[in-house]
Amino acid sequence: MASARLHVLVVEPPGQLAARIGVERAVASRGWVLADTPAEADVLLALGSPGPELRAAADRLHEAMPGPRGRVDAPTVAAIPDALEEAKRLIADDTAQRADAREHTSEPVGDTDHDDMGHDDMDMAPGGIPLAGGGEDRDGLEMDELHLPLGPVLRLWPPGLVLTCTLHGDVVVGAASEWVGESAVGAGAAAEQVPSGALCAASWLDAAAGVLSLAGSPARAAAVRSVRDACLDQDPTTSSRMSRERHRIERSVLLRWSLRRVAELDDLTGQASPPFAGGAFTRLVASLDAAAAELAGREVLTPEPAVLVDRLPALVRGRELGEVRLLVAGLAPAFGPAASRWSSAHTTREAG
Amino acid sequence: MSQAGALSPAWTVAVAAGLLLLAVATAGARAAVVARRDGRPALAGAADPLREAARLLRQRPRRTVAADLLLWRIASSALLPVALCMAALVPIGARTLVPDGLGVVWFNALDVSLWAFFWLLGWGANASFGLAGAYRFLALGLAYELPLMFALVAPAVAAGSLDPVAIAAGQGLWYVVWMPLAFLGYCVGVLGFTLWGPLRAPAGQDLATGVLAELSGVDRLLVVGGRYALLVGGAAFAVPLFLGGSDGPWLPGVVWLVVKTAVVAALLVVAGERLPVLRPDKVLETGWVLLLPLVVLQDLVVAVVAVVGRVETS
Repeated sequence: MASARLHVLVVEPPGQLAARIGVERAVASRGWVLADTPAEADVLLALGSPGPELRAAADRLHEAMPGPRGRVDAPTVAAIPDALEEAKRLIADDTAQRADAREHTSEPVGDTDHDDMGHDDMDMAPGGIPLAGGGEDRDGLEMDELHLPLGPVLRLWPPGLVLTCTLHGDVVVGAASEWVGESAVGAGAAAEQVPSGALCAASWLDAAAGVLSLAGSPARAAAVRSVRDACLDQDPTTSSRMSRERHRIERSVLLRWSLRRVAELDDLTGQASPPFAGGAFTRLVASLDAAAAELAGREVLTPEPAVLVDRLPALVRGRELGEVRLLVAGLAPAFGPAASRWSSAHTTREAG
Repeated sequence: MSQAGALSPAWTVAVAAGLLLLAVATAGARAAVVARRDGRPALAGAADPLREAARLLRQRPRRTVAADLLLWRIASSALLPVALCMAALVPIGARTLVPDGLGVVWFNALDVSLWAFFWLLGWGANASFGLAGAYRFLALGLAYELPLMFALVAPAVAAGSLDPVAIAAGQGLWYVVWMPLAFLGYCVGVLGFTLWGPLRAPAGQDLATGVLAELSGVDRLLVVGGRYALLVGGAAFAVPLFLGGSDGPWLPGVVWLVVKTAVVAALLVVAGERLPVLRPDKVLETGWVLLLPLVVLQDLVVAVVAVVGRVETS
């Protein structure tokens, strides 16, 4: 019974949207759950072929998982069911898990750099980590500064994006962004069997479902996810279901009030980017509209991903951590399949 | 004030067993609802809490770097005992396990103690998400605690006693009918101290489950189970305060107590499922500007009615 409901932590490289959606559906159909943190995870599932930085991140996460734990790879969409079965077999294998538990001690090792610290300084650095330094916050008080890297493996976060935030409490006062996908930002969309329009629509719906999950509306998020699955299956009822969901979300008074004036963005990067302007709720409704447009065959323009990555630290400064998550989840389609339009535009410009 | 008859200590076991069974039943009912929503059969979903408990019991404990282990483990183990204490304050029939006549005050003390435990839960792991969740809990606590306290005052004023037995006995017309705002304030308080539904931000998805982020194994089971137990404990205490206690035709008092507790718990679970998680700054604003004045107004109405009633009878 203990392995009847496993929690799966997914390592998703950029460009693997369809594979990750496949994992979500497979996990949900088995009654399993996607894990948010390594603490609650039983299985680490690596999709596609992650690059060296992502592999290092996956190793760190596997280290942070308590036993019993398993690690499986799913290089293609077709390999996912076998990978999940393999995971179940690994978790149920008592002898192997006991051997793993013996090797894997429970004492965690922090990132220590003892060379430039004398032994007298060790009192000020319990566990090898120095105490939090101080910094002045917006009211002039001295606050402890914490450094928190968001990504590259984080649920409801664009894959491949790492945002290292400096926090005063739960307010982000500074950030540094980088892209750890092995290819350039936006490239790497693997050849899929679905036409590009449906995949882009699915990425908009996925972003909308992510924002709904982060905003704490799991029922609405589940509904949008089922529309997303229907879109990928090329179900003809998709557009009517999409418009029904859009109506329901627009009518939700509490959701609109809760997200009012949250994660507000002015016009980004100077280019026309209507899907991303406004607050979180406006962006949510605009994502659903963009998905409907993509499904109808109209391309929706998103800002260039490399420019967006550079502008991200300025966009998140001064916002609360939850708001940053909502903001970046709303911007996720710019890093998804739609981003490959920018790289193909570049190649045609170079060729022509 | 006359002291209520005391139940024998053997009833402690029965109360604990009842609380745990109801908590598991609530978890199962909610899991069934979630399973239906995800397209799985409801009965298969109802067994999910048991599967989850089996998985967590098999999981190894986990420590983070430089964690404040003592305080962290104290916090994670404390939720279930607090819920048991809350359930122990609920009178069964006209008798109670705690016959000192101050049940309402003890309940308030217990829900205030949860502030410390939820803060330590976020603090102890020495991790940023947990700390951010703990800060959020303090903000929510400021929002729900005062309305909860004033909501507890209303039935006490109406019955002229702090003893849940006397409050339950003195209800002709159930208090929920003519003090609905106090009931609302009480329910918001229960949602707040169980991190449930609209007040789930300290354990929210946007903080990677916040205060629950670094828990694993038995500690996680104690916290997750403790939240359900607190929900049932809070729902159970609403019964003598607002729903007339163990009164009811034909069936024995215990059965009515369980039925009424289940109804309130179901109401809270449904509220958790239908309402989105509210951001802490919005809750703080609404709690102080809207809910607190309404509950105080309700207390004024109750006080006037009580005084007029006493003037008429004297």
